[in-house]
Amino acid sequence: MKKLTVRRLEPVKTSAAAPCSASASA
Amino acid sequence: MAGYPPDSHVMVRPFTHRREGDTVTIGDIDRQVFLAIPAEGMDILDSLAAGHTVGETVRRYEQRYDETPDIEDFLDALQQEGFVQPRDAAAVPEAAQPAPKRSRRSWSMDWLPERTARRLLSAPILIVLGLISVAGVAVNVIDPQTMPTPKALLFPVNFAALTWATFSLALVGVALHEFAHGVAARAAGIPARLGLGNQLYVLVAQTDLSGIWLVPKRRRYLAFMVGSLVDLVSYSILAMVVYTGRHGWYHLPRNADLLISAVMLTYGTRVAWQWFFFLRTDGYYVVATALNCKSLLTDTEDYLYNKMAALRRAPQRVDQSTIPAREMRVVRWFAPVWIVGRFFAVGFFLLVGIPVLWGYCYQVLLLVTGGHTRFTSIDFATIAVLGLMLDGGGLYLWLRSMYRRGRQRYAARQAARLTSDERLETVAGAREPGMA
Repeated sequence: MKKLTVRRLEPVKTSAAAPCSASASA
Repeated sequence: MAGYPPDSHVMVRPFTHRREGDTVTIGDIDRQVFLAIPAEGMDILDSLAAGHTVGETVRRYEQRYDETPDIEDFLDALQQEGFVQPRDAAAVPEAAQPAPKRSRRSWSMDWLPERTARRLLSAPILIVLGLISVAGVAVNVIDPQTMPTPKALLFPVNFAALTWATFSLALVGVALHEFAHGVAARAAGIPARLGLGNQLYVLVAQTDLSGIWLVPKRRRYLAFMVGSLVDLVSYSILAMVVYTGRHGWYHLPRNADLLISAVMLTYGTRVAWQWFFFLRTDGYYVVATALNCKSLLTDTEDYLYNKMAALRRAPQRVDQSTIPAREMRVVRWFAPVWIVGRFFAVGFFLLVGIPVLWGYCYQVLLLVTGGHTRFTSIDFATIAVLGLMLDGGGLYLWLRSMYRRGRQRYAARQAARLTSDERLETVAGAREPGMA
């Protein structure tokens, strides 16, 4: 019997960070 | 799960689809659910949507492909994702899965007409943006002094004012970056939502363009890379302003010079951040698309969970048998990248992020209790307010997402005890995609 797979695709969320002050002050 | 006897009819909900090789992507844009099914699965859905019974659909499939499909299993999986349901149950108007809860912190970009978005990203405009980027890099090569150094944020004068100005301009840059992603999504005719979120402990602006699964690969690449292109163009314009100012084309005031260098540094770090493949960054999506992976990060995390379970001699937590061998090869290669990336990210947080945050909190404590505090310095207050706002906000969202995932896992374990036969399926189904 042929199994037909169903796969959920991952969400696509692009992101950009504001300048991280912890790294800036480090 | 309802059964699908041969003489039954099936209601197929409206969906959008796109064929790519031997798989078809089907999507419900309203609910933001996208699935990959084998191309021959589309024949089954078309037949059922045309009103044929389950038995007739199987007969047609056998006639065409010379084998019998496991249609019950296929339809059960699609019903779980809200794409089909038995015709008898069709009197219920809602889908099996409700539309996702819209975050209160997100804004739709559907007001931007597709035609306008296409014009904004037309070939002539992209060529001009490319030329500006080349010019910016050329200026950096001709005069390396125009490149910002890591010390650009340590202003020797007017520290507080220049820091706030840099922060404000960097926020404009972040908004432009994400807006560009949104424009690319609208140009492809799909919805986009801008919002706030977190990547591990970092507070980020986010654009949800999951519908991009339904557009051809070439346009997906553009949607992922356009944010960094906009950053590069902004950086290049600033590099040219600094170059011409320093070479006497006009008078560039010192404060402006310091501010521009600092803003250029924030652009540089933002573009570099997009190459952290172990998080859902623009670079990650480019790589996952190039490698034809459907859910690379989640699959890698599941793979590592299973490895950990094997070390403890516990049963496998997630069934990965349905993932094609080609994708699993990529997952095995990606796992060390994920581990090294997480190791450094969490290490940086423990060694730098936590001590800095604690330093801010301690000063706030001194201020509240009337002790001697460095808050009297406007410079320190500036750093502390920005630090608590950004790092504290990111940390809060990160801890909250971990707490929620822990509760989901606990609920999944409780459910698994009730139906021990379906244990594997329950745990896999309850896991939220992604850990960031």
